[in-house]
Amino acid sequence: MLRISNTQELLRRIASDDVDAFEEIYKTYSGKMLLYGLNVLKKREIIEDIVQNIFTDLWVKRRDVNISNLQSYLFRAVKYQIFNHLRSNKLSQKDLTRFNIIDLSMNISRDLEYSELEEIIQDCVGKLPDRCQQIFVLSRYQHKSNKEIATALDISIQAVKNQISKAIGIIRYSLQQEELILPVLLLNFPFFS
Amino acid sequence: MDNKEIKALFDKYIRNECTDEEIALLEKFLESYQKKGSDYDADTLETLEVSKDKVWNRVRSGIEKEERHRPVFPLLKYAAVIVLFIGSALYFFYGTHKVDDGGQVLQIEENAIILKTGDHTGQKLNILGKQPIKNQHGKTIATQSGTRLVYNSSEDVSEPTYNEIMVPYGKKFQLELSDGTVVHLNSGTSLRFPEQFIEGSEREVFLDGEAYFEVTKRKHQPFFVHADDMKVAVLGTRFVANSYEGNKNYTVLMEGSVSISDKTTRTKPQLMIPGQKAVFLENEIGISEVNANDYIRWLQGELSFNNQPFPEIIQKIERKYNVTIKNEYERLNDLKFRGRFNDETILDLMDVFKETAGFEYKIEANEIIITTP
Repeated sequence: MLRISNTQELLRRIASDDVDAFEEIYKTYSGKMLLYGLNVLKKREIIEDIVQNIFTDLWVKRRDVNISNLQSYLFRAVKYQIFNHLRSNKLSQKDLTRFNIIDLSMNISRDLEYSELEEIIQDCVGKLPDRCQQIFVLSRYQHKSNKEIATALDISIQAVKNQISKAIGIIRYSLQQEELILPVLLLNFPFFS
Repeated sequence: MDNKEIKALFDKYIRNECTDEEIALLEKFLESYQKKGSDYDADTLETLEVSKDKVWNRVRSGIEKEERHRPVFPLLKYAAVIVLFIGSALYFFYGTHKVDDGGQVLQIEENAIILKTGDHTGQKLNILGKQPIKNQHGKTIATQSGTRLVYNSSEDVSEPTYNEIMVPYGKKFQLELSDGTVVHLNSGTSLRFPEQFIEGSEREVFLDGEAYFEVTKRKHQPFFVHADDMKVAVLGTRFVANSYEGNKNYTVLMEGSVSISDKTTRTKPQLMIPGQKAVFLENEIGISEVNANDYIRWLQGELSFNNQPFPEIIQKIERKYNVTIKNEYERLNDLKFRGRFNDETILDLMDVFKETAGFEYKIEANEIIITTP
């Protein structure tokens, strides 16, 4: 790990055209940046381009940038580029579902793997009243528009909207309940093991 | 949230207009893809090393190129370096060669580079040879060798005599003007320039197409590039780039300083700083930050598109390879692509492109026709 003073020293050196210092920065962060992007976009060429652009850009601006935390600067750049890419490319159904699941779980403070989160929400969805569940699944998992759902079920668009917000309300509530009991479980855990 | 709402959120993020809650949501979305801990398999980690090396080599060759292009004394040598790109296309026919795709044969026109001297006679330049260029009085004004033409006349003249060079699709050319300014002309481009700049008066050239300028610094002799309705004034010690995309004229500045103005609307000239791109929109000049290197990749023969709409990409390919491409798969027109090609033949390029973009193509009547898969 690089210490902060070290990073600042490296930045000072690249500002005076030191390519070795630049390579050291690259070697320290590029792997993590590539991995981070790869996990999201899954397309190697695109994330390679993104990382290349970020470092080329850093070199071009080396005399002008004022970076206090290099790691967060570089990762902010990766995130920005990923959103920039997602913005102009088609989102998959999977990504759409993921986005909605994340949206639902915004009030959970626990640090969960997405797969766990998906399961918990799946559970909550399973407990929804039938009609409400059917409409929520059509909307959030099969990405039908409200209008499509209304036509298919022969109900009004407003009724679709009502059912969806009802579903969201119930799911959010049960997620909160889980949060409340969770700390207790964790506290007790050592005694069971 | 549906596709549209999510895209709108990405847009807001890019424009830096998100609320804290929205940023938290977006961050959490990205985080959700990340594995906790470091349980990656050996395969992933190995390919990661490959990517790391590959990207480093590209970054390094990129910065070396930048260093090589940078004059030793940038402040002394060039007043500015610009790329310009302007609309209408040139087309000259001359000979053909064939690309064979197992039955589907594509004939590519081999067009000549044409130089018009003061008396408006045009001559085809033989790009394999070396020759002196004479004016109507039989005096040597320039020397051409291969795809480079150097003007070195030093007569005492009071009126500029304009020459014009026309570079067809599929070719590139390099020109050194009498003041030492170097101009790289891309395919489908013409430039009108004086045989010799007149001492004490402004230096003016007229561009149609795309060009990269390295303008020699002359304190009392400003340099102007006129390109369609765009006028670029090279100001100070550092550089500018200018260019055009689709039907919009644009300029990108690499180095130095230029001001840019619209001759039709007579808007106030806009000052540009390096790394900026000025695009001519309907009623205004839009300035944005870009990666300037993306705009000069064609100098190295590279064809690159960075999130460009499909119709613009088609135009670029047509210019570089001197082919005609018809798109019958309309949905593609709404998509943007990113990519980079080097020395591929046109058909290799199409084969790679069709895989990623998901189309088919065929060759008919000497045209490449893109079809629905």
